[in-house]
Amino acid sequence: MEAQDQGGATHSSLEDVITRIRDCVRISTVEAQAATHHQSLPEDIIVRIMSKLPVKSLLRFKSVSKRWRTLITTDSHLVTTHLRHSSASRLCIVSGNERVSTFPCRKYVERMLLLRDESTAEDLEIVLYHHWFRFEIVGSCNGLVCVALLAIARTWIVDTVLWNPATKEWRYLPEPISSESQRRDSNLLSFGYDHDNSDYKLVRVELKARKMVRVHVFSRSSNSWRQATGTDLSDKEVAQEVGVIVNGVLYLMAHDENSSRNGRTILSFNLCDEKFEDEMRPPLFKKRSEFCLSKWKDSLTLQEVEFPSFIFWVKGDMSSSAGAQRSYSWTRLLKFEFATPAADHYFVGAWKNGFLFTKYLNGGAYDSLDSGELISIEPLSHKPITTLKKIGSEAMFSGAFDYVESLVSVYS
Amino acid sequence: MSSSSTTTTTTRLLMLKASDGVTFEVEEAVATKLGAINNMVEEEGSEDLICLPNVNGKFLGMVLEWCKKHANNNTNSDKGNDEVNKWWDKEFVMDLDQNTLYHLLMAADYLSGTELVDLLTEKVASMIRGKKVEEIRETFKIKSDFLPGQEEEIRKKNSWAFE
Repeated sequence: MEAQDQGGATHSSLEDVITRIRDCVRISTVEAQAATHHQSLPEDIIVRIMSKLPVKSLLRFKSVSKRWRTLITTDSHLVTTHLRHSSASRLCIVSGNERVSTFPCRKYVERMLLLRDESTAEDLEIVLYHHWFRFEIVGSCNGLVCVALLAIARTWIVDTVLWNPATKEWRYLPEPISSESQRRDSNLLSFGYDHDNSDYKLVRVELKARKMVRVHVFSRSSNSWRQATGTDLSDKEVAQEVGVIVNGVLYLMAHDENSSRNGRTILSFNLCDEKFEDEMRPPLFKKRSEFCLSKWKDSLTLQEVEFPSFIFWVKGDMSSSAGAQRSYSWTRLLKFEFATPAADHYFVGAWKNGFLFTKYLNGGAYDSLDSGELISIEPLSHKPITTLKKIGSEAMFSGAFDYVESLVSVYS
Repeated sequence: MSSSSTTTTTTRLLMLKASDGVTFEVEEAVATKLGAINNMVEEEGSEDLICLPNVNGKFLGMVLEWCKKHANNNTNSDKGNDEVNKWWDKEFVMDLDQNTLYHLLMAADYLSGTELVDLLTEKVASMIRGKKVEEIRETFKIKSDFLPGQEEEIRKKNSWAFE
């Protein structure tokens, strides 16, 4: 690039100097004029700036002017681009209990923590705090967190709530029309995003003696439940009351006597057309091991557990990216063995590149409390184990959920 | 990295003329990092002089400086490239004052320099994220058009965002 106004020492003739002085004068007048028209930043530029701001700043800037308020509250383009930017920084919500006293009786408080990174944790205000209720995070997706309120020692579902912790907006979801049981163990809950319909959905599978009776789906956009009728329910027994949603498909582990895979099969329910799809074979694992499905780096993963060792499997082939998700093969990522006999480790969730475990110290039946430590196992790292910052002294963590701050509303 | 990879792509030169008559001679590969110029080159083909009546020379110079750095860095197929670009971007926006930033942003937007707009909006966002409402109004020259009481109401709803 040869910028001719920069002249340089080589050919700065008198004419050049005069031109430059004239330019300077002209620039400053143009600047002075422009400064008075400063408000003229085009709206799409304003939206682009907004999309890079934290939610807290945006909520504050709603009171700048009517235009700004409208943009921040209703501009769906802003919500989408903001989400895209904030998705680059993955946060984590960790739920658990902390023992606050032992004498005269054991007392616990529920805690919900937001991890901004491996060493910064802050308490999230539990907006729905109620003395009688306990909370269970059902799922977290694009900044929306679905929470079940439980009563009677966590056996009864009182309500389900949709919550955006960043905007502090929350709402109760309506009841499904024809649910028979509110028991926690006869309902499988899962929350996720339906890409094809740009909709957030809560799936509630009713179980009777572990078999599926009904499937209800709550859609945020229609603000109502509907029963998934156009699909055959498998008569297989569901093995766990948790499902995992990956790329718009809910996966459930079920029993299958005929399966050569330890008597297990994986059922899949598509959130878009609300139908069950082909069953999937889990990887071939050892006879006595336990397993658990989870979502890790946008892929379906399965952990084979044979204390104290864990084997991590991922669906598809990690080396080929696109389309691998639909393949039926599994890739073994890592076998990991915890080398601390005085502690037990329980899986709580996946975050960033790792699987998070909470550490329980074996100090006798009632004292086997968590040390307040979260451990991350990262299969693709050279040094697969990292201990996160200690949170609390006697905390027991029950779940960890990948989370991003967003403007996504709990209403449609 | 032998020299063979960076030889004979088009070294055609374009002449860009700013609103104040200042002209810049730029390699096509550099100038076409700007979407608007890329379009003009594709449409008009042979035209070598491009007039840009909406951009002042000072800011056009800065935009082209940015393009040049990025075009150069992209020709080296080094892995550390991204790092270099990032480092350079940081330097580029570090000492920009509000007024320069505004004009640069307008110029980059007019010239459809998407990546540069991204960089500059990021900079603006980092400058204003902690600001008070009044400061935002001042920065963006906005007058509050709320009815009396209306603003209070909005503030009350999200009072925690003002802490």
